[in-house]
Amino acid sequence: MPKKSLETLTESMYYVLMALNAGPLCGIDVTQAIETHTGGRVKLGPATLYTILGKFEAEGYIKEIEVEGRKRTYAITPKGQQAYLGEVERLRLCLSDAQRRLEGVESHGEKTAVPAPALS
Amino acid sequence: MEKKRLYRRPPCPDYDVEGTESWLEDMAREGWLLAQDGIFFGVATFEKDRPQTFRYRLAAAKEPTSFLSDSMGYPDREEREVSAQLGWEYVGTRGDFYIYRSADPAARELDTDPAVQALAFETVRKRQVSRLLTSVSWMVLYPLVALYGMVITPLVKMGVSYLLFWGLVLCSLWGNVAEYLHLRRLNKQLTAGQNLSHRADWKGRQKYRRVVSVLKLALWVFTLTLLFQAWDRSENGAIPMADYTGTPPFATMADFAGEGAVYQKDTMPQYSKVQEWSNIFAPVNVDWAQHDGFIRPDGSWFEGGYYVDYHQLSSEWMAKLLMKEYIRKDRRDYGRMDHYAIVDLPRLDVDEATAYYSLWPTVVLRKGNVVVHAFLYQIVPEGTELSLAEWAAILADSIE
Repeated sequence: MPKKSLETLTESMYYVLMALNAGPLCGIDVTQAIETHTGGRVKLGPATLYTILGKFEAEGYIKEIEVEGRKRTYAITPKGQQAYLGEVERLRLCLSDAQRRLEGVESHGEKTAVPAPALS
Repeated sequence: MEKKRLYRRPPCPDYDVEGTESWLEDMAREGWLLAQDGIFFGVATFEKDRPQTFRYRLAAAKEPTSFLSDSMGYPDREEREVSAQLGWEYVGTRGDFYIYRSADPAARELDTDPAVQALAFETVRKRQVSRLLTSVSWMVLYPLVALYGMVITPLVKMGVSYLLFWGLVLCSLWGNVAEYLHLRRLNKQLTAGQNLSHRADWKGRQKYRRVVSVLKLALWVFTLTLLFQAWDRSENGAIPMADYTGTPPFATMADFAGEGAVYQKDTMPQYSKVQEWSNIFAPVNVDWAQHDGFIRPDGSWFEGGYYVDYHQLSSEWMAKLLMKEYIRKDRRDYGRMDHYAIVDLPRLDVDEATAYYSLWPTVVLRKGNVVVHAFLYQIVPEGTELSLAEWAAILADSIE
């Protein structure tokens, strides 16, 4: 089950990898980096954060590189980077599919039953 | 001034995340806040405060939460600190879950991603399955192996108490199964992207849980009392043969002596004992140990020990199983001895008969729902011993 779940990253998992891809961070810094990246749209709860860090560590996506008192610092591994870049590529494809669809609607004057939400 | 305290048994089991959260929040609204490390041995300690709104949340523990574990039941220190920075205070541990609370309505939820929470629950569920398997091994498989798969023998010896005991053991295992099913349901819900409800109805469950707990406790006390009585009877219930005034429903050594023999009772009085008991599964049971002697009319003397286990069971299929268990037990205990051998018997007036040399010449007979397991050892001049076929035939004829 856990391995299967990690085949596709959830939004929270994706942002944790994104934060760590920029450089090693400790737990609280990861949440803060995510908030900054997303303009406060994504806020990770502490239980979610530590479940993700635990799973990623078990999966070999990240590793603990420093322990200072209670603070532990994590760094992304090549496997984690691969997972992150794979997810970025998947999202890029999703986005380009959506983009093409939207352009098609505009050029052929097709109408969808539900208007597509604006992509930010 | 020390705060006023209140002790309460949680109204729902430890795996009922939604029920526990709702109960703690309702207690806080009534002015009772869970004390720090406030759940101990299944009892929650609350401290009096002003009524206030708290959010209580249970976080699935990644590691085992027992005192003996590396974490000693506490969440990771960094996790506690980060949670505190984000507005969540750790207050205790219950089962496989850490309890956090927040008085800040603006604090983000403890779990913000249901799919990730499902992963955390999955860890708990795996631990729970491993505990369930351990419980099954210790509570069911181990006793069965220790008893060499004997089911009817202890039932005959212990009666209803044995059945009740197993019923209660299975009930305890049912608790583990219920936990498994509950966690699976929560997991499915979370995997589907649905958050847990933090306003579950725990009051309805409280009454049911109380009644079940009281009934369970009463049943355990009753069962253990019965088991102790059954054990006490089997250990101390035998009376000296000299004091026995009844008539056993099978042939005794006196029947082996024949007419004209001079009979001598109780050659080893300390070992000659008899015990009778009855229960719903085996209405008539006799445990017979007789040490007598006699001198035959031709002058040859006979001295020996005659041990009989007589059981009249409530049904024939139970008798068939009991007979097999006696044979299996003897084979297990004596089968590796050099002199262990199956003996052919002449046709006897019973439904089933088996004979073998284990420690002593032994016969196991079944007639209808009666099973007799007997052995006879003899101290006699060479060539004058009573053959197994002879005394087995006398015994078989005596069974009604």
